[in-house]
Amino acid sequence: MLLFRSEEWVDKWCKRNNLERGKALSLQQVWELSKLWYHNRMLLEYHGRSMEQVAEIFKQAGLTSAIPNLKLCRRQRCQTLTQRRKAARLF
Amino acid sequence: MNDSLLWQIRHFVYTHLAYTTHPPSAEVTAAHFNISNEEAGELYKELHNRHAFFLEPETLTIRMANPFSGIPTDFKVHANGKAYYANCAWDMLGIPAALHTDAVIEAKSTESNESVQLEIKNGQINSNVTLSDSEGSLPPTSETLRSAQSDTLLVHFPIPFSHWYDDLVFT
Repeated sequence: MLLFRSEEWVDKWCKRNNLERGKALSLQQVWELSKLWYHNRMLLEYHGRSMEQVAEIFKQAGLTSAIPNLKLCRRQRCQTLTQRRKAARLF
Repeated sequence: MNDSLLWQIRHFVYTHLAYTTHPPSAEVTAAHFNISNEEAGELYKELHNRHAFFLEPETLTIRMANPFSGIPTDFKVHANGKAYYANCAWDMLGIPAALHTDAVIEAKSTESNESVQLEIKNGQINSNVTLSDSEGSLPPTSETLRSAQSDTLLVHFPIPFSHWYDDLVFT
């Protein structure tokens, strides 16, 4: 995830690199997400989190609509056993 | 596989990073837990497979233990009297969040190539951000320095969440 001065610079960068534009969030939004995402990362008890917990964090940060593929993610990952195993990995 | 030891090693890696700013080698971890280098290496690979941290390809060197980076990046975080590197613009905010501490962050804005300095204090992100043109090696002058509100800065998530792990370094 990269830092940009404004939407205009995001567009320029995407165009120059021939990349599809993703989602741009404000620093305040990302700070709120960071606190929810990383607050327990230093603890021995942190063993990762499930997709449901990930979805809950994005919901708490008010970002479910900002990351539209979040819901698709679980459905796509859980179609096969291999994908279910992948879904159990740490986030 | 001893899961208890596995998670203790994950915790040791993060604690080592917080204290020293760099990840421990497998040899350092092996010595700490009084296990063989080979066993430490296998446990590192397992933690990599479980996305607890990420190794450089074909090595036992920790490249990323999010939010910390094992190598210098454009996202430098000063906290607790130390200087850490973050993997990305999200992780530069993740370091003070993980350490529960104030921080001063130095970063580069992509494409416009400006230096950005911002502050986390008492759990709040400082609304005043210092931008300076990053051309040249001289420190910014009053002509190149200017302030901006942090809410004008953006973090771009270039790929959908479901594909974050396809190419982690790119992500």
